[in-house]
Parts: sequence; C-alpha cells; structure tokens
Amino acid sequence: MNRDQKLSPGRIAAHILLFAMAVVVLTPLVWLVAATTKGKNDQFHYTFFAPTITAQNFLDLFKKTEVLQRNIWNSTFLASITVLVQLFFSSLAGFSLAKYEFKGKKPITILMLATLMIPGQLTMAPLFELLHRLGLVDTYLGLIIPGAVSVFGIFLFRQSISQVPDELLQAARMDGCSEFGIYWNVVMPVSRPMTGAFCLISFMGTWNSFLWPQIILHNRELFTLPIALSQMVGVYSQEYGMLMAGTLIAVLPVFILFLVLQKEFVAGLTAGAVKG
Amino acid sequence: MRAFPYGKAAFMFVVLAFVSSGMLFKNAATSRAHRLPAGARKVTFWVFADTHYEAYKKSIPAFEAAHPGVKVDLQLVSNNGLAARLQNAFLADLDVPDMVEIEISSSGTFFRGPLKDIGFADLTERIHSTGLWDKMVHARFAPYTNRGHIFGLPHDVHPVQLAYRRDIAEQLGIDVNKIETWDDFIKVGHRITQLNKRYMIDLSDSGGDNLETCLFQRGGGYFDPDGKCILDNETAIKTMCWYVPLVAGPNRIGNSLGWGQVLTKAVEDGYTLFLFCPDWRSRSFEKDIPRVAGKMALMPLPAVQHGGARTSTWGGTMLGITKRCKEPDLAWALAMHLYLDKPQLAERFRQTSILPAMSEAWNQEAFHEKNAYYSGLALGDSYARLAPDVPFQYTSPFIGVAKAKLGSALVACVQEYSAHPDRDLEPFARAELKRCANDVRTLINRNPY
Repeated sequence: MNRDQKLSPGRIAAHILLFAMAVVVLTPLVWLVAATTKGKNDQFHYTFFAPTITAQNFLDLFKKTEVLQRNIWNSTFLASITVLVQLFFSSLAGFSLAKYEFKGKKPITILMLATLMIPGQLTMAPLFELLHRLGLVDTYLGLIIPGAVSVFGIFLFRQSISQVPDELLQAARMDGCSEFGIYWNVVMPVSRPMTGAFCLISFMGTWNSFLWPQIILHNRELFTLPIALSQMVGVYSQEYGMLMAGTLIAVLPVFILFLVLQKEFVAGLTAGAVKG
Repeated sequence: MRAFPYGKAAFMFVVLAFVSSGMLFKNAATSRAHRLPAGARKVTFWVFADTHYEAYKKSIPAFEAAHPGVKVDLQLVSNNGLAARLQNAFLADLDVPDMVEIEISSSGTFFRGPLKDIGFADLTERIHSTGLWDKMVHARFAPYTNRGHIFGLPHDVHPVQLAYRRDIAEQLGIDVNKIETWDDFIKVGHRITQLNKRYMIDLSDSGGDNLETCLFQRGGGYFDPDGKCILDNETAIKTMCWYVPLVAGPNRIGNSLGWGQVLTKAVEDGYTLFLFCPDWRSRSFEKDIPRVAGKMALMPLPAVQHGGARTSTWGGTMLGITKRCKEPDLAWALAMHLYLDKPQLAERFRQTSILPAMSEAWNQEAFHEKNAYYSGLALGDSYARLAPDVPFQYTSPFIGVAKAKLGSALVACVQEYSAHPDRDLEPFARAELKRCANDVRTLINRNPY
C-alpha cells in the first residue's frame, strides 16, 4: 500500500460522505428498477422490491403499446443520425475556425457564441412555421435538420483542434493532401478523445429531447421514446408499472453507452486540463 | 477502424444508425398500410386520454363503414402538450385538427379574444336544433360556454362522492347513512381522528383541487357566467374559513396525502378513511389500491345544509370542432357517433367508470352492474343518481391563473391558521382572497376584449 492509499481519517470521512451521496443518487434508480418488477397488487404496497418478482410490466408494455418497439427504433435512429450529422458539421466548422484565417472570422465566432445565450424556446414558433412551410412537420427531417449543427460542438471542436500543431497540417499540405484530406486524415484522428465525449453528450441530448419532438411529431409511429412514454401519463389513470418499465428502457441505452465509452468521455473532457 | 477518422465512439453510432434504419425500413410496409388512401375525406381528431383513444379506436371502423371514403385520423396527444400545441396551431393557423378533446382546466384558455377569433366552431345552433341540449346534463355545458356561445360538447359529468374504508368505518361505529351534512361528517371526524395516527379524510392543504370541489358545492367558483372573477365573494371566503380548520390546527380531521405510494399506503393502513372520489377516481383507486377490494364503499358527499346537493364535480373533458375543419357536418356526425351511441357509452363506462353526459345512456345494463371493489355497490347508478345535482362551473381564459391563485391563498391561510389557531381567520382569508382575485382581475383588465 503506497502513501496515497493509506487509510487516513480524512480519507475514511471522504469515503463515508461519497457513499452517502451515492446512496442518495442511486435510491431513485433502485426504486425505478424495483417498480418494474412489481405486480399490480404490489406496486404501491412495498416501497422497494416485492417478495414476488414479475416481468409482466415489460410484457404489458410491448403488448399494450403496439408501436413502442418502433418508438425505440425511432429514438435510436434519430439519435445516432443526429450525432453523426452534428459531429460532421460541427467538427468541420470547428476546424475552419481553429485553423483558417478569413474575413469576418471573429464576428462569426462572436455571433455563434451569442446564439448560445438565446433560449431554444424563443426560436420554436418561427422554426415551426418554417418547417411547416417546408413540409417537414411530422417527419424525421424536421428533427434532424434543425439539430444538424451544434454551436456547442463547434466551440468544443474549435478549442480541441486549435491544440493540433500547425506543423502537422503544413506537413500534410506539403505531401499534397487536400484541405478536406487534412481534416479527415490528420485533424480528426488526433481529436478522437474529444469526438468520443461529443458523441456521448450529443447522443444524450437527442435521446432525451422532449419538447421539440413533441411539437414536430404527430404520428404515433414516428414518436420518439420520451414522447411515447409521456403518452402513458394519463389524466384519469396511470399504469405505473408499465411507465416505470418504459422509463428503465429509456435510461438503459445511455447507461450502457456511458459504460462502453467512459474512457473516451473522460479523456475528452480532461484533454488539455493538465498543462504539460 | 483506422480508415474511420472519428474513432470507436462515432463508429458505434454508424452501426446503430444502420441497424435502426434497417429496422425502420422493415416496418415501413406496416406504416404505409396505415396511410390514408389518396382522395380520401379525412377527419383529424386529437385526444389526450389513452382510455378515450382506445375506446374510439374500436368504434371508429363502424363510423368509417357507414361513411364510405371517409378516414378518421385519430391521434393521441399528451395532455401536457396538447393545449400548447393547439394554441400555437390556432394562432399560427397551422396544423389545426378538425376535432379535439380538451381537458376542462385548459378549455377556457381557448376562449380568449373576440368571438370571431376563437378557434372552435360555435355549436350552439347545432346543439339546440338536434335536441342534444335536452339529452345532456345542462351544467356540463357551462364550462364550455363563453359569451352565450357553446364551443364544446361535454364528454362526462364527473359527480363527486366520498370513497371510504367500509370495514374500518363499521369497526369504529360510523353509520354513513346518518351522515347527511358536513356538520355531521365533521362531528364524526373529531371523534375518530387521532393526530398523526388516523384521519377522517384526505384533504389537500396546499393544492386547490379539494377546496375547489367544496367551493363548487357551495355555489361558488372562480368566475361567474360573464367571466368575472368571483374568487373573493362571500361564498369563497366562507368556504375558505370552513375548509382551513379541517386541514390545519389542533382540531383538524384531514390530512394531505397526494397521489401514488403515500396515498395507497395510507388507505391500506387505514390512516385515512374517506377520500373525495369523482367517477374517474373510483377507477384509479381500483387500480392503485387493489388490496382493499371489497373493503371500500362510496357515499354521497355530505350536503352543506339539510336538503342540499349531495355532490360536486371534479374534472371534465369537452369535444370541440375547429373552425378550420373543412367538413364540419362530417365532424359533427363523428361526434354524435362517439358521444351518443348508447352501447358504446356503456362499454366505455365499463372501461373507465366515467359517467357520460348523455343521461339517456344511464339506463344501460353496464350502469347497474355491481362492483365488487366497492362492496357490491352499483357504481353507475350511484353516480347517475347524483349527476342531475352537479353544480355549474364557469371558466375563462384566465382559469389557469385563478386556479394557481386559489392554491396560493389556501397555503397562506393554512400557514396563518397553523400559527394562530385562536385568531379569527376571516379577516385574513378575506384580504388574501381579495389580493388573489385582484391579481386575476388585473390580468383580465389588460385584455382589451
């Protein structure tokens, strides 16, 4: 055991505090999992797990909500496509802002950052009208196109790519590489940690997105998972077990992705945090 | 992977995109089958309650068969999003459905502005000329009437009773048949309530739902028929002063349970004996508290005074036809098909326990069926008996604000009474309600219409 790992009173206190905080954070998740395993008679009778565990809520969920499977695929499709489209455009824009000098670069950057301060709700009405006139209401494109470029992503990539040495780019140019080739073969491979972090952030944003899909999508078959789940919240009655099962299904992909990509996510977020 | 410059994470999303597009493509054939045939006459109908959606889905094929070439595009829209979406659609004149069901608490918001600008078609003439006026409970037209014009058909009546733990009430020697007025009820409540152990009734001390029900029963409300705010009239003040000591102070008999797990546990444990129970909530109890099946029963609401109405109302839904509807006659025919077909109404009652507004339907067998959960009571009959006494309630575009203000006045009065139970609450309640009502009036006065 080295010095850092010794059990000092401070370290023990920190662990107790962290454990208590973990309990606070995890309790609702445990409650959620427990709720999905309880039958109708037990749903509110037991605070957490009931003696009898059932998968009925999941079976009911897929049986009674006939298009739920489709809703899950809709969410997967929209989230993954949006991630890829955002990644492509945001990294390209970030690359140009980081590595090229052109007229109006500064005002464009300021204007771009200024848009981060405009609440999305403000632009919803005009955007809805625009999409309606383009015939994109109630289509996948109505969700993909407005979300194709992320200002946050541009800024993230601009910062990340600005750390790529210019000499690398010059060397590629001297070898006859095109500007897009430099982006594709040189810049993006060295920005992979940031790409991983951005993908996860973008996926979570799109996967959990509620308000805009709720406005744009009208056909049940096109609904994303959060919209489909919100339909289960009845005014007169609720199927709590089914709702919890649906919520768990909605949470799981993000959870799994985070487990798979956590190395890249952490690396992306801490890149440049330590000065060498 | 080397040829793909974005790395493992992005590659995973490429795979996901391919797999999901494949799955969606596979399902596309099913979707195409659901699309409307070219040239079909279409009625787009938005509903917010999944129980209605499921019931209408079963009944619409019969309507389509009776109207060749007509397709009903029934859409389930979340109630949270429906009001905002419809309001936007009316304002922007975009994507307006032909027919829509609206929950009572948001229906008033659509009656803003000059009559010509209201998004719903005026149904007054149709309702009177078809004799529908006489077939339905009149009080239920009131919330959907504005400046003398009826903009919605009532879906339901929602009379309120009290649900209670029959077994415990019997053990405690409570004879519900002897409880006729609220005074009788409170007297029993004081006898059996033991603070923090057992309460007579579930009453909210922070939200206006139960208070509103009591207010309606006393002939009060948020607005008068002309849309003027009456939150601070004598009825409201008296109701507030009567209600607050039931939920606050040392002699309280009510406790606020909210919804979900806490409510279930409290009813199962006999912590709370009586609960406000409109027809729709009777089904919620059956689903959420199944362990007390056969131990529950219903009794009419105690009257304010001897001979007074033994009910009130809580909730509601209207069906409106929008002005953008290209075929209002067709939409009306569909509305009649859904709201007046007796066998269908009976079946819907079996599914939802909601009493339809059309009184002629109440003689169907479904309404006389005994309900085991409520100790063999004929659920439909018990609500139908009270339905003619359901009080009138009036709405306004400012109903949302008024509801919030009533809730905040209740919280203030509960705090005041908890701190000073010996003081006379009336001056405080009067001032608080006046302040709230004036806030609502300020907003109303800003509206030039």
